[in-house]
Amino acid sequence: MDQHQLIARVLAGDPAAERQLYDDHVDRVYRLAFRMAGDDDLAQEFTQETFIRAFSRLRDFRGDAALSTWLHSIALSVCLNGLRKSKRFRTREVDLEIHGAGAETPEKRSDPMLKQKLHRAIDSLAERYRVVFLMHDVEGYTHDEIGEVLSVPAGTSKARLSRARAKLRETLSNLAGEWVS
Amino acid sequence: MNNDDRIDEVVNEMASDYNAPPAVQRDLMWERIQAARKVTPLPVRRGVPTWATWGVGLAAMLAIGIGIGRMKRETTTSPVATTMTAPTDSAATRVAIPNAEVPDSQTASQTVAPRAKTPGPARSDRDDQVAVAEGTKTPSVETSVTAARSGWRGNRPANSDAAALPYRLAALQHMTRVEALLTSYEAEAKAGRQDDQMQAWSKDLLSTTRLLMDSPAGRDPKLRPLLEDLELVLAQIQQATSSHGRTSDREMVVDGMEKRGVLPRLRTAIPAGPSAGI
Repeated sequence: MDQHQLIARVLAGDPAAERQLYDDHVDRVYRLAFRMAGDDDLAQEFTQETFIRAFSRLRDFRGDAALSTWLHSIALSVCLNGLRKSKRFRTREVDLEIHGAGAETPEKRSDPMLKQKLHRAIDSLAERYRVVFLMHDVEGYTHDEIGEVLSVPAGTSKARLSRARAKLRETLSNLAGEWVS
Repeated sequence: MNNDDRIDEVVNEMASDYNAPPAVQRDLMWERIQAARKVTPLPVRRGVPTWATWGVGLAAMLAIGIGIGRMKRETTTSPVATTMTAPTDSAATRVAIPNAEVPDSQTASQTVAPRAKTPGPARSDRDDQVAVAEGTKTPSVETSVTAARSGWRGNRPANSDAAALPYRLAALQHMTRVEALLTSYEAEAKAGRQDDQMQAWSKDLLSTTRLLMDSPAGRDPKLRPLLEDLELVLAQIQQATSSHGRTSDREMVVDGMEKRGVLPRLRTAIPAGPSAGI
């Protein structure tokens, strides 16, 4: 069954079609939500909210983009709005220079510590860079997909990814010499 | 390979562990989605206007209220002023009943309601309201302009208001349920207790709140700030009632509610009586 047939059946009230639509997309939506939120309860809530909104707006889906793109656009909007509201769970942007990205002594460095620093560096990225970085480098979305989800040109997605990587390199660059030697 | 490339390699390798997702609990989330959708069922193409599926109760309340308004207008020399205000977004008129037919062009002298037997803006305006109650057609903004030009005095509901009525009624009904939860939650939290049903309850209400925020009711400048605060409070309650919730979390939620005056504002927004929201 192709996308249009599936949507038509869902709009006609077919429960099996609804479940199939959900099953086809829930994994990727949930993964994106979890990558953004880092919390299972939040990720489930965002995922559920995404599908609730999607089903209520399915009639408005024009089909000029892939259904997955449309769903992920909703998911991202839900995640970002939800994270802004749940301030308790937001990791504040930290100045890694102050928190000692360069103050570690060689004896204290280890892979788990390095990974932790990297994760904090990702947390500290501005939202627009973090989203693109997670979608592309972590979850494997293409720039075309990211552009459609974010309603920006693919070139903008590439530029933001480049900027995100540059920021991560800048933050962790003082450790680079030891890693690559 | 230069240093930048090496760092990028390390970054990509380690980033795979960043917020690594666990197994997806498909069935659990599906059950919750279905439960939430029972409040706002999926529109079905049956030739019936979409918002008619919200419930016969909403349509009945609307018809009763408009009928009362008509009776008062017929028995008094001047029109009855209503408490309704026109929505700030006239586009709300066009999206109130998605399946309704909105003529492509309108003129000031044209009547929209199909049942209008005699020309005349005041009569057509009344028929427009009947049409809305019966869920047949969405009157256009131009018709309300025609009615205004007829010289009909009084603050009668504009056609755009009538179209947004189901949304406001739904919002008021929803806020009644939210008030019940918040009142219970506050009482339980102050008594040092936690009701296990609160999490599921607050999740359902949170989903509905967000749907209302996306509806024409969410564009009401009076309702929007309250809906936003309700969304925040319900999200906080959900977190506080999770398995990780602590007493201090519940106290923080109650403190936040009191500081923002959520319950008093909620109770003020929910008028008493059968004509609530009309």
